[in-house]
Amino acid sequence: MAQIFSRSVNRAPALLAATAAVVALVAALGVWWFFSPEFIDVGYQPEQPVAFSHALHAGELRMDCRYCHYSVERSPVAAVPATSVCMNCHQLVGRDLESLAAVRDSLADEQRIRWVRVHNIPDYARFDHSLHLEAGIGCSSCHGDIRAMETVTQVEPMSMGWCLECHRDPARHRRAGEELYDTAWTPPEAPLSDEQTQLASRLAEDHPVAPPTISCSGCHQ
Amino acid sequence: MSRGQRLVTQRLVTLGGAPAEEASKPEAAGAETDGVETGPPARGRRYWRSLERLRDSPAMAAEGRLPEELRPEFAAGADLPPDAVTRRTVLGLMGASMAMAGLAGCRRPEEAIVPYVRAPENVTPGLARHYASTFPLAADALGVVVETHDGRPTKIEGNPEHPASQGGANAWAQASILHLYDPDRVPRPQLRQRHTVAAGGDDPAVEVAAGEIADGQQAGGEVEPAGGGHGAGRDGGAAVTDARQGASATTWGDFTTFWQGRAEALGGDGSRLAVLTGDGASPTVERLAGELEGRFPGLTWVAYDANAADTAGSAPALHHLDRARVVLALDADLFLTEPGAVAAARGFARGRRVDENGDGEVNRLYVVEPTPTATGGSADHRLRLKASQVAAFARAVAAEMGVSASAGDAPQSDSPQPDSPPPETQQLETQPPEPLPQLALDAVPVIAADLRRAGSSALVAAGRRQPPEVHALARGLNRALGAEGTTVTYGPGPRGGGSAGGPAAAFADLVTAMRGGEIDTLVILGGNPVYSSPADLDLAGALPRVPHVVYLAHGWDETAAHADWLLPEAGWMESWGDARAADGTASLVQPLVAPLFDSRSAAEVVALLAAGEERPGYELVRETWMGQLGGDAAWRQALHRGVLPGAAPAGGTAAGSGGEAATETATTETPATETAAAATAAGETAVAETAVAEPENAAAAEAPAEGSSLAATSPAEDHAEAATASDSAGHAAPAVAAAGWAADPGAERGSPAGHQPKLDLELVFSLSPSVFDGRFANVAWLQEMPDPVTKVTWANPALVSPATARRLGLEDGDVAVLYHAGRRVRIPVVAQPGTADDTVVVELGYGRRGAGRVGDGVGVDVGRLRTSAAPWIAPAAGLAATGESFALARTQEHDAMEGRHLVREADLGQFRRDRRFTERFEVDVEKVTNLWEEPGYDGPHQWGMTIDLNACTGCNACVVACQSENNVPVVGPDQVRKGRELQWLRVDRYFEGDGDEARPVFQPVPCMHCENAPCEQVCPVAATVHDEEGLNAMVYNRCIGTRYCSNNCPYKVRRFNYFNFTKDTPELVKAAMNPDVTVRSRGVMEKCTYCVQRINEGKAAAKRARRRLADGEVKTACQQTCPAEAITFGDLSDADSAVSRTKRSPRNYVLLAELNNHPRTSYLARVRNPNPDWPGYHQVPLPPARPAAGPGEGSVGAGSRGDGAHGDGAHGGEGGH
Repeated sequence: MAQIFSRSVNRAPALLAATAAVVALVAALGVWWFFSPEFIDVGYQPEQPVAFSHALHAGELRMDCRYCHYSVERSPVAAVPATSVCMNCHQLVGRDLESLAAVRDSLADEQRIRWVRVHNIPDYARFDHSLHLEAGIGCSSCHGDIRAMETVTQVEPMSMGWCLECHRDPARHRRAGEELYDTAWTPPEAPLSDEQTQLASRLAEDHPVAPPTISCSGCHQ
Repeated sequence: MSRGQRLVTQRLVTLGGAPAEEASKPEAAGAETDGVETGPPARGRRYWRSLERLRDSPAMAAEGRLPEELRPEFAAGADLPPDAVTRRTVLGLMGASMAMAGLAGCRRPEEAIVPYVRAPENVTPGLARHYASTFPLAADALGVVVETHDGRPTKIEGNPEHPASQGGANAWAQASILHLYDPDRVPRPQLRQRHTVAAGGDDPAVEVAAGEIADGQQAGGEVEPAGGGHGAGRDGGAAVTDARQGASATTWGDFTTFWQGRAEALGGDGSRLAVLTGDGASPTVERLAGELEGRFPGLTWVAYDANAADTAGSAPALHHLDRARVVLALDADLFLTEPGAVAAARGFARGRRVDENGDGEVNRLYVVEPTPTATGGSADHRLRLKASQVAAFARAVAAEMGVSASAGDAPQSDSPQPDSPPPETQQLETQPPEPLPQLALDAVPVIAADLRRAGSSALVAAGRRQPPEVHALARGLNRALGAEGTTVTYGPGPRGGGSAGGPAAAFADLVTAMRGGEIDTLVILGGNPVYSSPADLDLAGALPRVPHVVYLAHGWDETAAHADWLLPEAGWMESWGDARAADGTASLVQPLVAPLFDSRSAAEVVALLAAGEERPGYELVRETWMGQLGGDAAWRQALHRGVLPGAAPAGGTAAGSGGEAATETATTETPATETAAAATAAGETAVAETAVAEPENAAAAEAPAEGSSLAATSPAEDHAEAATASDSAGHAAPAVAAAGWAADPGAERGSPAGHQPKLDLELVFSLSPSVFDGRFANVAWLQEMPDPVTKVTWANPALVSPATARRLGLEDGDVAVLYHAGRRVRIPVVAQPGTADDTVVVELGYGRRGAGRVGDGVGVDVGRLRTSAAPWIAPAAGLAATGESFALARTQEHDAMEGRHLVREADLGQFRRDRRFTERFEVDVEKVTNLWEEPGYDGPHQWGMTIDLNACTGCNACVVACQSENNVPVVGPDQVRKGRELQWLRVDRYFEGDGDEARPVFQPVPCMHCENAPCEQVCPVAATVHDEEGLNAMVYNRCIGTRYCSNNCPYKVRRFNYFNFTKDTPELVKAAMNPDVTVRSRGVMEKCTYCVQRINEGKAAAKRARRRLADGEVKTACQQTCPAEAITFGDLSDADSAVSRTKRSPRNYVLLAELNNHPRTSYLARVRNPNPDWPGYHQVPLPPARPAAGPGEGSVGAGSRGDGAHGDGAHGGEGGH
């Protein structure tokens, strides 16, 4: 009786095992790499209940960030504006716009608008907007160039590693004054200019990235 | 026991071993008290946790420690796998969650941001806001500051500007957060067709009484011994008292309409209208009561709290312990359950600061009490005495000082006559009065002399359960000492007494009037009187005779079952109001959240009654105070500060309304007549039976007072509505419940005479340090809070002395039947060292049936044994063993630390001779070389804590504050039995002394934050690590639940989540969570973090304000609430910080210094101030002084290695040994 399997098949189990190992490794590496916040979260752009355009308001009209996000300098939270803030202008401007119906209804019916959160830091991590501004870290460091965005998109991974990267060497991200709210601001490349080094060290003196920077309890509680 | 654990244990033994050759203290009970010097114990005082440990181990007696086999390092069951979930299930779940982990990770759940429509002014999202308000509790109130996050209250702190609080708070104030978010509150007004009884007709109450007896028999006894907590322990009667039965939702508008009709029917006089309030301390309610009286001049207004002290109409004494040098507490739990306890604990602790005041005077506390309390633990001399003998003791002290009892009776002349006690007491006194024990007799002249020496700085305080005579004696003594005006002032007299005999008599009159059909409409403003009033008055039996009962209720409680109009009461955090503290300080209650339910405050309801229409509470309160305040600015200022300017009446001897002893009046109203088993025959009307039952056969008697008062009832006129009501199907409930008090199934069954114990015990009631009078029964934090002394959770065992327990053949956890006044309950027993012999002490507030999902069926309702004649101290009670036992959920053996020198004490004289006496307790060990590289602590702050054992009263406020601040879950009695309680901070209670005479000593134990932490070294995943500032941090996300860290922690402060305890948290209760603290899930270790969220918030606030963090700005939750200021926390790198100063105290020591852990938490040893003249006093010698310990100061702990980073002179030693 003839052999059903040829001799070459003898190598099959070994090959299969090797292939499986490679596949598993690739899968593991793939999950490790591609399921990270950098790939999962960056680019998150949910649809919002109101088609609000930062590009129009903050970009074209040059509205200050703090007009709406009024608590950013004194609270951990940069407030999302109340409906009444929107209507400050929109009772005069664009009164009949279809896209603003939800906002008008909100005020009329006392119904809150449910915005979808884009930048989400887990509840077990403490993040404080006001302290970052105080220390010379502006909006764009985390939120990117919001003024250019029609719909807000997450541009940074907002993972712990990403936080720590900056916390370990914040010098090139420090800035002062109006640059804090200039969303087009990008950090200078190394080597840093003398001016930037001076600014950074001055800010570092006033607002050291106080330890614990690497310790868990600095941010987790 | 795992291998690792054994290794650790052995290591501890090696390091902690005491020199065995040192002579031991022989087992001579009472050596200290009978004056026999039996040879000094070489190692100083002995401390022990429980009688078992003391008794079972000669080795411990010799060595101060248990032999290893008797030393389970963990409670039995702590190493068991979680039950209810098998290993297979776990594996299955693991597989499934692995498979789904990827999917779940793909996209996080969408989260919404929901901004305001119109943002309120001054609200900054993300920042907590703090408002001053007032926490009313019975006739007392505590000024508080409430933290709110996004409009929901999450945490209570004391208001530093309020004299009753001074920044501290008690466990009840802390736990009132959960009381607010109680899911079992009445959500909206309810109307019920209720079964009422036309007087004179057939008495359905008797019928249903028989019905309940049957129920009770089925359930095997009227009261289950305890706290199954969830479902277990409910008897057949529970179902019929369900207040929800037959109730249907209605509206406030309907009630207003009803009331308008009622008011007209009541006519101009309103003599058939009665109002019964529980807590009577709101000036606005009092003002509105006046308005209501203006409309109905014949109105009966009764303010009755069954648990208020009976001072026979004279003004209650206010104690100022901060000014007192010598204090004699006559059965007064000054630091916990008496009014004004927070300020008292604070004042007393301030008088004990031996460091600042080393050679000056230190105050001294004598406590005479029947069972150990938090106050007894703080005493320098504690005298255990039967509660009924405290009066004789007080008389003896008064006689010694030449004070007659009547000296204290002024300002009113017709004060209590000690020679006309209530009948039951009389009975006792016909027997030869028990002489005071020799020790007490010997102590009298000593105490009297000490009081006299202190003069106007002395203070005699009488407790709430003592009869008016003792209060009068205390008053007389204080007057004779010249203490009035310094250590004692008098508060406003009791309010709303109504009749001459005080509130108790007024209440008894009211019940009689109800029974007689004289009341048409009864409005009950909170207070749950059906549960809390004495059982023999049988309020529940009288309520069906009132055609209209309106009840303003927190929950569906026992009283709610008897009301036809059930109105939801707005709590103090959701309504406008005001309250008066025990000292008379008035303050405003401002709401922090809109009412969670459709509820109204008591003031609003009274206003509605008076005006016939609703008026907002804000206006009502403003009307009360605007006249005094004068303007809006003053009003806002008062709200802001939380105290009304000048609202505290001047101290002085405010005259109370004169009156005879309330108990006496009450007694004459309802004599303890016992009708023999009359009620058992269904349908048979009870006959007025006047034979006074002998105590011995009282158990066979039945339904006291019921028969006589029913027979006396005259037919009422207008019961037409009642008759229609009785047709409804849902009516049985209230009527059955009405008989619930009187009906005693056990009695019906008729115990054979042989089973009846001799009624030779004295029954003493006490308020619960946990659930107070039962109002907090549905607050899980308090149910799980271990009793300060017994360390029992989720139950209220009866306490007897160990000798009495032996005599009765009872052991801890044995269920016994407690007989008194013809009723009986089954209750577990605890042999409590320090309890007076032949006394049984029971705690009120348990055994609730209408508390809600947490409190129902927990513990035993001992209130049903309470009579109006002897509401606190009653003779003639008996205990009989049943042979059953009940597993108490008790934490006293959990996490033990094996008798090493954890608590250190010295007498004041010893302390002055050797201020560094704590060093004598150190254990000699070789200098340990660390195997690990020691972490550098180079952060800008170095956190540390000290706990002053001299101040701690063991009151548990810190435990609940920590639980509230840190979202610590409650685990329930079954888990507590397995040692799985989660409270991050525990208060260890040791006993010092021998057997029956023992005295409790308290020691709070949070995480020590060791610099060289044993837990960190064994964690395989680095889930517990240090930060640069010395915090031992726990990383929940890394933790895989090996529990090695807990195993290796010598202080046993780590807690493990065996289940997902927060999974089933009702939505409403979630609002109580602190948003700044992670909620832990199953399988994760947790422990004290030094309130890292507060540290971070403090730093952030300082940074925002561009300044350095100031000392005292960051307070841990336990520190902030501590009434006695025992806890100091702060930055050790700042040599001037408060904590650095306390660390420099010579009393400073750390636990288990020999382990080289370098804890950041240290203790300040206790210094007692005993009176050398005390009978039998001998100084317990300290261990011998140790040879000079090198150049250092000998203290170990934070910064002790003198590495320069934050060391200073006091910390320079090489670990001290």
